[in-house]
Amino acid sequence: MQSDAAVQQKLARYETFVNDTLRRDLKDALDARDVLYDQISEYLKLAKDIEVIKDNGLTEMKTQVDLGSNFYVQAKIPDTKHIFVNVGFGFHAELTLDEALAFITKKEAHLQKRAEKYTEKASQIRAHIKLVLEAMAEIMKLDTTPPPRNLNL
Amino acid sequence: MDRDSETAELANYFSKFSAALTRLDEELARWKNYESDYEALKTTLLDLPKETSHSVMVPFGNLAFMPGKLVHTNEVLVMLGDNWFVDRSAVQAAEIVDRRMELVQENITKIKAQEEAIRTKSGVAPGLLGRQEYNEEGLPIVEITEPYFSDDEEGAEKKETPAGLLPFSQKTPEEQAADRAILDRLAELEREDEERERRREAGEIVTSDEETSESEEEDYDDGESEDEHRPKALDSDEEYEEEVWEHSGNESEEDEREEDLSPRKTVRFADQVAKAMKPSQASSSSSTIKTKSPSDIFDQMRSKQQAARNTGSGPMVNMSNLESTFSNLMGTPAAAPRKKPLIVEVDETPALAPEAPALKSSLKPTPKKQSLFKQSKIQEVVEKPLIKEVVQPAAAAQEEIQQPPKKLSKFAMARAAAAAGGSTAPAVQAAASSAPIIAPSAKPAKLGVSDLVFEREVPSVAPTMPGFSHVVERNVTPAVVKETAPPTSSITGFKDVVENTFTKPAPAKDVIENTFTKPSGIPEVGSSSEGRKKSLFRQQQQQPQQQSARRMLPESAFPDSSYGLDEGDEYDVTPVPSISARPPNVVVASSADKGKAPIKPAMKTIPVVASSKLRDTALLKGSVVEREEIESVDEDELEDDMLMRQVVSEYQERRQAMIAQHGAFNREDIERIWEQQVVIPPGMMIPETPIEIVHDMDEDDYEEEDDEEEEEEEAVQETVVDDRNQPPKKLSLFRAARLTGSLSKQE
Repeated sequence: MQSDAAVQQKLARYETFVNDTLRRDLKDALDARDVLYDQISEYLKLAKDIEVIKDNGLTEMKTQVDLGSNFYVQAKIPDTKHIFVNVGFGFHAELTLDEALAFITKKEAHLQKRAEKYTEKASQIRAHIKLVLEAMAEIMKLDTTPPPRNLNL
Repeated sequence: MDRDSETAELANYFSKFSAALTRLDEELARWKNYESDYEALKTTLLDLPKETSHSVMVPFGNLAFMPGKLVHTNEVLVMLGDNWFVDRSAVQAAEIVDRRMELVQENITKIKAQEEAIRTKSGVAPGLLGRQEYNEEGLPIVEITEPYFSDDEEGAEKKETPAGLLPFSQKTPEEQAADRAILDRLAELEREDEERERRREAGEIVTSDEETSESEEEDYDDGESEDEHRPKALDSDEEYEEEVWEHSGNESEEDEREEDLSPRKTVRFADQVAKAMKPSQASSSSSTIKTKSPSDIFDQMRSKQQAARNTGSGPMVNMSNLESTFSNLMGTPAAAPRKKPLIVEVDETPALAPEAPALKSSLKPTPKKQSLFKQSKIQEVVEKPLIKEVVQPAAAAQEEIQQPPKKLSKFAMARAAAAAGGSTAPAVQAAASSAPIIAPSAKPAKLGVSDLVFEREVPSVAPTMPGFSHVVERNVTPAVVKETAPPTSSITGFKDVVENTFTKPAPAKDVIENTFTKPSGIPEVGSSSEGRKKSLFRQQQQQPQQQSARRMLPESAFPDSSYGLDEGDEYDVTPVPSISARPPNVVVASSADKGKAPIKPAMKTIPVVASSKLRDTALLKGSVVEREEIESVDEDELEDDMLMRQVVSEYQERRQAMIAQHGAFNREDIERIWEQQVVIPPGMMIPETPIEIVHDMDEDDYEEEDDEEEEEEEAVQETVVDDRNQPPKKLSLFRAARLTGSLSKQE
């Protein structure tokens, strides 16, 4: 049998691994997914706006532009046929409203896929964490040490 | 364990501070962000109404935009907060932005102050936050570590001897060689003496007979005689004691005979200088040459060292002794022109400065006039740095170069810093003109001066001034040669020249500078001075009063001159033409300058009456400076100046008091301290800076803020007591609060 101290040392190492590596990875994955979800919601909002313009048949419209810090100035859009949409990587494409809608659905699907990947990754990390913790718990049980901490996520 | 707990505490301390700091940093970043936003917004707002419409890409959500135009550019809808909007013109909106900016700035300064406070607190453990500390010059604070060599201290005393060789370079090679030989001998003697001391400590006996014989024979390096005695001493204790008695008796006898010869008595020398130097003894001593033998000098040196070692103010002790010696000497009939006075003078010098002069003078058993002259000159050189050092802080740079005036100005400095070096020169003049014999009278003056200097001098030996000594070195040789060639008349002439120089300090300096540049011209100058000598001398003799009146620089009522005069009568004995001791560079200067038109007096000199009355010692000693030509002073200016000073000092005083009381000066700091310390009784109103919310601020609020800020600024400056000023009032309130709080506690 290994000495008690050695076991304790191992346990400590596992715990730090869980806390410093796995949990951080998990957080990163979830954050990245959140960013993607934000983008998806933005696109969905844009799609909704375009739908409104189309539904109302607006050829020109008035709106208010935020100059920053909630200072609004009136703006007039003379022609609503075309819209510049951010297609990613800093590019904006001049699209018609219909094209824009089509692009947004595609873009949304793509983003969803990426988000799912992140979700998968996150659940994997979670599984790893659980595994390590249970292994630690087993060792501790064998050593008749107090029950493991942080078992439930 | 203690250490562990300390470490833990420190870690805790650190974590708290770092947490607070990160929080503040975030806050600060947020506010900075607001600031930049508002700045951008303001420029936009001001640019907006310049045109009726701007074509822009109108943002359509975050991801899209459409080409469009900004219309009604002078109408801005501003959100005041809580979804309340107001329609403002662009300029009005810009004003709102301004007010918000002020708020933002205030918050930023507050946060910075907080951060600063935290950092100051963390300064208790420097480097705690891993930050390099900087001093007020922006340089990183580092610990100064210098290697310590214990050898330095030990060697310092021994180094004194080499240090004394300062004027060494002025000697001819032969003289230098002789000096070196003597020095070697001295070193040898010292070794010998130390060895003897050791033996004595070890319980061995060295008879004074032996010592005397040794010193008389100058047979220092063999231990034969000692070997003879030692077995005897070791035979029995009784014998030993007997011997001690004998020797002590012998010693006392020898004390009278040859005071300075036995190295053993050197210890006593410092205490008994006066006795040792008693003129009667000196005259009755076997020969004057004996007194001047190397051993004598050695004794002197040793005594000095000892004195320096034993007492922190060694020089001072020596001084008193020397003074008593002086008085003794004055009492002596001036029988023969012995070298004794010279020696005394020499003694005086090394008391503070390097001992080399002493050595030199004593090196020559029968010094000629020339050599004496030279010696005294050398002494002068040695003295010079000292005096210079003393005077330097007060005297102007120009005055520094002129040695004699400076010497005296040291005295003047003590009374009034404004008194110039030039004003002091007349002291010498007074002495000279009043006494028919010029040469001797001038010397006492000098002596008096040097005395003075020494009395005031701090024990520390002044470092040599390289530049100055350089000048002297250059000029000395030719001047000396010139002076020594013609016997007496040249000396008097020289004196005259010197006097003239003293009266015109400013040009003297110029010439000295000239000599610096072209030393080759010095011999010529010297000769020219010779040619003029006689006439000048006569002039001076015939009409001293006129001369004094003619001088551009008014004479000062210098008390020291009286001192010099008093001693001068007694010192007439001295054959040494001490005038020659004046720095030769001065001579050169004067001679070169004689042709020049009247010279402006030194700028800082206080004009003083040049009347014969002033030579009255009583008057002079009263340290009263009479003014004849008083420079017109602008009274208004003076008054203003005084007022200004008063105000400033008051302000500083108050400021210091405030800092002393609260440990801070900023209002915020003080407030914080109050908050921490003061127990505020209920009902006590404390005006406090409102906590600002950026967005929900009314315009009126902003204005109020402005007022308050102004008041704060006033408070910080706070030069005059003003009721409107908030902080003083607050101060008193808080003090009262604290008082009441403490009172209630006591109850």
